[in-house]
Amino acid sequence: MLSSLLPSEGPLVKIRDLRLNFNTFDGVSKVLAGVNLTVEKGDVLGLVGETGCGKTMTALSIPRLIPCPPGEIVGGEILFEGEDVLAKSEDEMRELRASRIAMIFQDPTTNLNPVFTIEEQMIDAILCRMGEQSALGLTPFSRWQGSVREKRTEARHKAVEMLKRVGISQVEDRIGSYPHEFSGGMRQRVLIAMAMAGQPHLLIADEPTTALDVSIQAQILRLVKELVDEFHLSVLLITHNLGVVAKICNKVAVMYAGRVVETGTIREIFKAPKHPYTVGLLNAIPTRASRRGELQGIPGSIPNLLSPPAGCRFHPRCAHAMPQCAADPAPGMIPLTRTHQVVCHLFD
Amino acid sequence: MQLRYYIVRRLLLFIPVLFGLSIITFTVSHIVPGDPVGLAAGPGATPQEIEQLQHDYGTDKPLPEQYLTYMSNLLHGDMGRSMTSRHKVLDDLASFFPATLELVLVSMVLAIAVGIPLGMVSAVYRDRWPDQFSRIFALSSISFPRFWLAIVLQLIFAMTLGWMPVGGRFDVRQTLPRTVTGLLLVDSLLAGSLTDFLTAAKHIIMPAICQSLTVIAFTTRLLRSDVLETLQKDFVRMARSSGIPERVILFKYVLKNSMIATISTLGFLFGFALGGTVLIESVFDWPGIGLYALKSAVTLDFQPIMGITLFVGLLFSIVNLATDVVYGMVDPRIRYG
Repeated sequence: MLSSLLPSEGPLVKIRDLRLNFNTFDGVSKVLAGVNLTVEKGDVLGLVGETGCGKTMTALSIPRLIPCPPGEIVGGEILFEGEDVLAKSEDEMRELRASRIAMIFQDPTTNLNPVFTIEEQMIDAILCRMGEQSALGLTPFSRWQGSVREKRTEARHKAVEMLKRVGISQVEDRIGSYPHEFSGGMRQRVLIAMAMAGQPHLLIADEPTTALDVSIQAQILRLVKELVDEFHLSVLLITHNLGVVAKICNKVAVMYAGRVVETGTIREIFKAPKHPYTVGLLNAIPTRASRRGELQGIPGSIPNLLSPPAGCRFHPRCAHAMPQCAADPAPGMIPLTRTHQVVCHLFD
Repeated sequence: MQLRYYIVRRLLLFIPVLFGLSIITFTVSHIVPGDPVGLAAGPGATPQEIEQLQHDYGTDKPLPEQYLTYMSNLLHGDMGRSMTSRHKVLDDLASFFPATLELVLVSMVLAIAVGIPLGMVSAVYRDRWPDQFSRIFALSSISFPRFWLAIVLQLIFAMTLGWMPVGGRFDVRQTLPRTVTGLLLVDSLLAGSLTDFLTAAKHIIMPAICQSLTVIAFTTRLLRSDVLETLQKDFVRMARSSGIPERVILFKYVLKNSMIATISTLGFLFGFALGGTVLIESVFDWPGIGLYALKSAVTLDFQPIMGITLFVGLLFSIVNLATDVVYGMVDPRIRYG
């Protein structure tokens, strides 16, 4: 009630105790086991953790893009601008995705449709973001209607403008190309242009630079940062690259095996990490100070989510594990400062 | 430009293919035991008459010479004559082939109109009742013998209900529309006669349904598995994240990506069916090229056998080429080279 009266108040995204299972042939995989995450307006939040810890699944659950089945949300709540995402109908979700959420993904090669031109794909996406999906023109005949043609021309202008904005040269010559005729970096720019064509409130970037060359990575990151400033976007950036986080984020959430174990500002997490896993993660970054030939890892390996350890899921690998760490229920969120929270019995 | 060179090169490749086909067919149709000339002359023929016939048809000459004579006649546009009916093979082809072509075209249109939506539906409703229904439908239409199904249809719709004619291509009591394309459905419309069109349609519908069932089954199953695979692709998730409606994602983004295997199968089945649909044609008494081929084969009437084989071989090659060109229109990543 309050949130609908005061829409500008409250966080942009609030995920509370989100539980997601994947029903596989081998049994039920508890991929997310009570994720708590908040993205405030204006935040650039980095979501970090090892591969398979549920970063992408957490992010995909906000626009409800998790494939169900095999996925199944079994508990928790997701609020986007105060609205309950899980209670929305498919059509309301489609509209929410079109109008307020932009997503860019890891691999620009597989995220563009190989059998349609860039122009065709961009026009379709932009029409949806403009709320004009009736002008999509599924049959060739509908393209003869004046109103459809007009809308498509308008969307094409927007596409050209966006492609120029993301730094693609000779747009008019290239817009009719197929994705395979573009380089990886250019494809990622196209995807960014497609995502940003509306006025999104949240950008979800799922490892946007992982599949790119190092030199292109920096360019794409710079572009994302520019666009974030220009459009006053809030961002959820998924990465396992802590260097990227330090460069463009203002907050960090660390995930481990389906739970957020620590959140805080960049300063708090990098200068004074509290959770033993965060400490281990930061120590694992090789720096110039670390001795040659010496790489520090975290002993053990990530748990099997089909039968995760009871209590804190990190306790089998934790040097500070205490008896209560192995017992259910798992530790709760402990606020250390207004922004810094940790999930660990050490701070009870 | 590249495409034009590709087509020309493929067309040139037809020459060795048809040449090889002609040698194999000619050899086989001449070395199989049997006496086509004796059969043609009839049981009461005298040895002199048979000798005269052998001389007329050139069968007393050595095989290579006979082959060369046949080929040189062929290149001059003469496909020879049937020994049993004395008709020119070219005229026979011109009268029988359109019947088969019409039957196959109508059945392909039916197959595409039913098979593609059914394949999409069973992928989208995977393992739920529409999928189970289409699975049972596909399995049964492959496993029921086609001639049996044809007879059952005849029993129900022609004999019992009397809605459809039992067989044939047109009502014998009506005059045929003027021949323009040889396809009765088209010719009757060109002549402006709706009654003729309906008569032709009534005759073609049951054989066409029987012919289309196998194609529907293949299309449905292939498309289903390809659509299921495409639905897992990242670009589908990307399209969803842009807010593109599910209907558009399915029928535009997914369908075009899933069509490759289906197109090649449809092309193959189409070319294959053009060679004659003997079972259907004989049950429905459809005067097509399949029946003609069968009759020629049992009498070892080698001129029609050669003519039919080469003609169907040419058609098959053309359909294959067309399929490959359509491929490239669907998937821009395919290079012609």
